[in-house]
Amino acid sequence: MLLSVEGLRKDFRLRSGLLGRSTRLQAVQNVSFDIPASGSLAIVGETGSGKTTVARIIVGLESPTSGVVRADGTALSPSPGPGERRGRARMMQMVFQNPVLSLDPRQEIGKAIHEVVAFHRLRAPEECEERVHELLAAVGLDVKLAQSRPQNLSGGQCQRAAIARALAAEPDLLVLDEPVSALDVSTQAQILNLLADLKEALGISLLTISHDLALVRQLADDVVVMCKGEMVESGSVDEVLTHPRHDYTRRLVEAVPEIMSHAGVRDAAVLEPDAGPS
Amino acid sequence: MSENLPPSGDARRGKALRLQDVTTYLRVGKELKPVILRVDLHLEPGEIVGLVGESGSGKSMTARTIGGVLPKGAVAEGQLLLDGQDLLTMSHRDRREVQAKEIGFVFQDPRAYIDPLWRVGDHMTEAMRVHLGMSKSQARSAAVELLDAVGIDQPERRLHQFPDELSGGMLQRVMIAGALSVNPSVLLADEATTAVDVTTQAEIVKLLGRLSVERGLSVLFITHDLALADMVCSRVCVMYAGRIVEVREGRQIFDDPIHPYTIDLLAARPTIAHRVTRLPVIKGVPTSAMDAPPGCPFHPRCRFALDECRSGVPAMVPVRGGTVRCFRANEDLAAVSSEQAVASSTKGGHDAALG
Repeated sequence: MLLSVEGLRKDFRLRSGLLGRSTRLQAVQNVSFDIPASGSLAIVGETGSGKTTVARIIVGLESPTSGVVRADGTALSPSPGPGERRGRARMMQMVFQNPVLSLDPRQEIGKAIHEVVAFHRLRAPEECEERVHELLAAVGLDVKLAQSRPQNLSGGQCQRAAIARALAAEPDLLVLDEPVSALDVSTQAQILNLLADLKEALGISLLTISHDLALVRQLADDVVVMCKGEMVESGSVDEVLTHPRHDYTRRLVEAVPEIMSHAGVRDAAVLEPDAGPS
Repeated sequence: MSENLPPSGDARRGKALRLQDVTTYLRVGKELKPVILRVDLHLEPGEIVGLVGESGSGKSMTARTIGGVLPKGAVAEGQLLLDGQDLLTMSHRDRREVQAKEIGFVFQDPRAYIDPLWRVGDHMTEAMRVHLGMSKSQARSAAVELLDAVGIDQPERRLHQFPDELSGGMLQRVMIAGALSVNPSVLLADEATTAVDVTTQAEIVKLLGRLSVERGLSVLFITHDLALADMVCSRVCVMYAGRIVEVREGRQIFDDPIHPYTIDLLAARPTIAHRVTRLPVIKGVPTSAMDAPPGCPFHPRCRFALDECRSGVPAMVPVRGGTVRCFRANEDLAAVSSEQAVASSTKGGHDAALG
C-alpha cells in the first residue's frame, strides 16, 4: 500500500475563559483507510467533519493524538523533525483550495516552482530552469508565464501553478484540499481533466478532500465519508454514491441540487408558489 | 419550526420589480466603464428568479444596482421599477428610503456582514427601530417571531448570543431574518448558500421557497450553480460579461439549454450520476463587461461562433418559451454539440468528449 492510515485520532485542547478548564475536542476519531499506488481516494464531509485535519496529519502539518500513518509499509513519525519533513515532502504534496492565497504574492511562479526543484536537489542547478518549463508545460501553462506573479493570473492559472509546484517534488501522492471550489464553473472542468491526466501520465495517487460529491465521482475510485470526526461509511465511489448505507451519506447525496431537482422537490408546493412550468 | 410569520400588516402584498434596459457603470480612474449592460429583468410578487453567472458576469452588480449599494462613483441608467415607480428618477433620499424598506439583502458570507461585537438581538432590531420606528420591546418581540419563522430554535436565547456562537447555517438564517425585519417586498440573495454545507443549503433554499409563498416575497436568487438555480427558481436568467444571454423556465434550462454558453456550462459540470472519461471544457476564462471583446462577448470561447458574432451583439430573441441572445438561437446547437463531441473525441481546444 502506498499509504495506509490506521486508527487515526486527533484531539484538540480548547480552553474556555481565563482560568477555565481545558476541554478536549475530538476532531478525528478512529479513521482508517488505504490508498494503493496510482489509486484515488476522496474524503467527503461537511464543515467540521474532520476531513481537512486527516489530510493535515497525513502530510505532517498536524500530529495525531494516536494512530499511525504508513507509507509503503513504513510508519511515519507523528511529529517529524526537519530531515523527516524533507523526506515526507518528497513523497507527498498538498494543493490547497485557494491558489491565490497559497502562492506567495510577491514571488514569480517560475521561482516558486524552481525553489522546490532546487530544495530537493532533483536536478543539477543548470537544469532546474528547464525542469520548471517542463512542469509549466505539464500543467498547461505557457512558459512565458514563469515571470508572472499570482495576482496577474486567473484563478485557474494559479491553481495550475500550484499543482506544478506540488509536482516539482515528484511526489507519489497529491493531497488536494477542495482543489476547484474557489474556481469558476467553466474552469473547474479544465483542472479536473488536468488532474486526471497527471494521474494517468505520472502514475501518482490522489487524496482529495471535498464536500462536492460530483467532483468526488469524477476524480476518485474510493471514498470515505466523515461526519463529526467519525468515519461513517467507506467503499468504492460507485457503491457509496449509488447505494449509500449510512443515513448521513444518504442525506448528503439527497441534498445535491441535481438529485433534489430530479426527485421533484422543485415541484413541491413549497418551492412553487404559483403554477410553475408544468 | 413555526409556520407563523409575524403580523406584517398586509402579509401577501408583494410588489413586482422590473429592470428595463439597465446599464451600470463603475468609475475606473476618470472613466466610466460598464459592469452590466442593458439588463431586462422582472420579478413578480412571490416569484423566485435565478440569476446565474461566473465571476465578472455582473450578477452581483445587478443586485447592487437594485439594492442601491453600488461602489462610490457608480452610475446606473435605465428604469428600475418597483410597483411601477422608477427608483432611478427619484431623489437620492427617497430612493434610499424605498430601498431600505423594500429591498432586503443576504450575502454569501454572513460573518463578513454582521458586526461580531453586536448581539443577534441588536442586529435584528436595528432596522426595525430605525425604519419602522418601533420601540425596543416591540422590535425585540418582532425579532423573536422572525427568528422562529426562519427556523431558529430558542429565539429568545439567541437574541443574547454573539455571531461567533452560531454556526454558518444558523447565522445565514439570522441574516435572512434580519433582511426580512422591515418586511421588504424583494429579497436579493447573492450566493446566499455558497458558503454553507449542502445539507444546510437544502434547508435554506426550502426556507426561501416557503417565505416567497407565505409573504409574497420576490426573491432574486443569485448563484454560480445552474443546477441549484434550476431547482429553486421558477425562471432562470444566465448572465455573461454583463449581459443576460438566456432566460428560461426553471427546468427548461437544465434539460434544453439553447445558448452555447449555457450548453457548455452544463456539460462542463461533473455529475454525481456517473463518471465521464473527460469533462468537456469551455476554453479560456470568463470575461467581464469591461474587458469584453467587440461583438458577442462569448464568441472567443464559443464553439459555434460565426463571422457575424465577432462584429455584432445579438439581440434577445424568443425561442422555445424563453429568450436567448445568440445569432444561432434557432438552431438546435445542443444536438450539434453532442454529435461534434462524439466526432472530435479529445482533439482540439474544447476537449469535448461527453461520456
